[in-house]
Amino acid sequence: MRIDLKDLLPGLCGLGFGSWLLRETYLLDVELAQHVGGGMNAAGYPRLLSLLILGCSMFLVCQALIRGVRRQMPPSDDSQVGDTWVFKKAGIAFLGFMVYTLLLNHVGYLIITPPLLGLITVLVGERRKLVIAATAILITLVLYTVTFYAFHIVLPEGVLRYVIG
Amino acid sequence: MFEFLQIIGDLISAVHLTSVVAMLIGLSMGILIGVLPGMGPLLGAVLAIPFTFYMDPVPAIALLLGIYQGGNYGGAITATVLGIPGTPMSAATLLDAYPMANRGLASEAVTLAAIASFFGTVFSGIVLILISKTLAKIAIGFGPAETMSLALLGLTAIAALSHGSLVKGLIAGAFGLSIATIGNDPITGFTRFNFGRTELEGGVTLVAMFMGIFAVSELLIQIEKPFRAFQATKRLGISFSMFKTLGPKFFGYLRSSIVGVGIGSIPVVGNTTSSFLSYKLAKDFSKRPGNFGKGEPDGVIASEAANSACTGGALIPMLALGIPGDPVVAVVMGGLLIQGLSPGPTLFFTQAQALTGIFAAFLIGGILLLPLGLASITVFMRVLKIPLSILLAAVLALIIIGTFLVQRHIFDLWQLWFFGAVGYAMRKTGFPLIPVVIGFVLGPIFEVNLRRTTIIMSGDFFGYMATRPVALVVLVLAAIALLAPLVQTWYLRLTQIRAERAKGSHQKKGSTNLS
Repeated sequence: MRIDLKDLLPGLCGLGFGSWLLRETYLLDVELAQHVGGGMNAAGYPRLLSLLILGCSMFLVCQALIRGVRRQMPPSDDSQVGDTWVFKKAGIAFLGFMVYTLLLNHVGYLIITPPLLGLITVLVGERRKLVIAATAILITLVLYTVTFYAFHIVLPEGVLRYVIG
Repeated sequence: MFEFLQIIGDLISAVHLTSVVAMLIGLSMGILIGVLPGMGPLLGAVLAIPFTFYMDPVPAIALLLGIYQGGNYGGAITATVLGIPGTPMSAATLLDAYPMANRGLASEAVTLAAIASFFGTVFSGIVLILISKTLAKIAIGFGPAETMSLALLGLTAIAALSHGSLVKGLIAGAFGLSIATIGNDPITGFTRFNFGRTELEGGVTLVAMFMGIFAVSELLIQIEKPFRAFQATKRLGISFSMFKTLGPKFFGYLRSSIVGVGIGSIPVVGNTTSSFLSYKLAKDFSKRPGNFGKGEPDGVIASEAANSACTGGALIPMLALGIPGDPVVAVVMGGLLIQGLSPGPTLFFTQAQALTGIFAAFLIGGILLLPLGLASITVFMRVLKIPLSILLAAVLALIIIGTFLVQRHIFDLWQLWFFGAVGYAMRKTGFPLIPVVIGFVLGPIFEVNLRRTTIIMSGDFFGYMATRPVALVVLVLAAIALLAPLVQTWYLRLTQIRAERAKGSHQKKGSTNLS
């Protein structure tokens, strides 16, 4: 039996999210909200939404399990993924985003941004080292200058704060 | 007549140089991003929205509207030159513009697209000005029940946008509505679902959410695709002879523009539908229907005038009723909210001056589109020669800067990546993204009015609704809008099964006859 993971996995995620939301609505201290003229309180509306999500997710899971065969999905360019390398590329990019955000304040925008942009150009398929370096550095500098002069905003300076003083 | 002259006078006095400059920048950005295959005005508007924080309301909205108008036209250039639609709404344009280009009439096709876009946009701008205020005057008397019903009607657009699976569309919409509940409760001020973070007390950052769901997920999808470059071999220029079509083909331009405004004003039916419908109508009315699809200029006019007229049409329900008529308009609505302008009927009475400025900017955009769109064709074609790797690196840098500029919090970047991951996972599993944004934008309006209605009706739903006929009618319309795609799917399946059975019984009869 082949189960359609494209329905099962989001269905399970939906069940998880819906259950969490439903639990949160009960945990909410709604005493403050309960006395608003007898209408729906601050937890009531999200509870309705959690039930809608739970119902739809349950339907999705049941549909995937009952059919037991791969559903005819509408053709979508986004979902046509042939090998695992493409997933790895997105994963590496995402990891890059995480590291970038963690280091941005400490290292500084001007130092940390070019490596991230370089990583993206490499992942897209660019192999010319000069193009990669020039693209990363130029874009970083141009945007830094624009934000500094047009919006009067200094992006995180990081270690450069100590170097420049 | 006096009122009409007064409107003209108001529009002229509302024109400011900053708005015109913002509109020019917006149009250029829009055409640029429309030319790039796979990107479109939606991504352009999302990327521009953080920069509107630092602008006055009218130039800020002018910038977003410029991107919207320019993006629609930009897609036609790619459709003509490369034979691939730069944006989904230019798919119908491609049917005749590309064959025209193959016959050596690329300049004629693009000039015709520019004229049609100009005509459609200006026409829709005039309709927008004339109709939206009247609609707002009616809607100003609406109470919470009517507003809640209208918001629900807007949310049922989710059904129309749930290509393939209504259930997935509903989950996506409910997810967007749930995200909108994070932060302070709009009625009591009670803080909900903020995970103990003070940054979330005001709710999820709109820009981080929009950027993550659309831009980051798009970036990750683009990274996965094989390395590619576009080769534009056709030469483009301006064909002034095409301006002569405005006379003999005037009714063609007008009919397509009316279709565009009409379809555009129905929430989220969208400009792709309008351009195909207009194309079909043009073919039905044509004396040369056989030429359609082989390079018929009327086909280009029909598609481009309709999808451009959609821009003004889609703004009517958003400005007058607070319901976005189109995904890009949902982003523009976000831009209005950022500027402290709450879309809906009250906007016409509390912020009349800003609104007149927005109307004037819209019309100016439509007028500027023609000279800018034609004069800059060769410049924008050069964009196609820039390697995708450089463009994506620039887009990523813009996403980061744009998100950070809003509040200058690193936490906003975490929100950005979170929504980027959600958007990416949704794309991979066949979930539509637009319902999340529609839910997020309409969520607060829907919740506040739903809860106010429950307070007013004091448990007697039917008794209360009997006194609110408008709300009741809108609720029925919402139910129809939600159920229509389901009924349509079931009907198609039933017809298919019947056809298969009939075919089977014919085959059986045939085989018994043979034996």
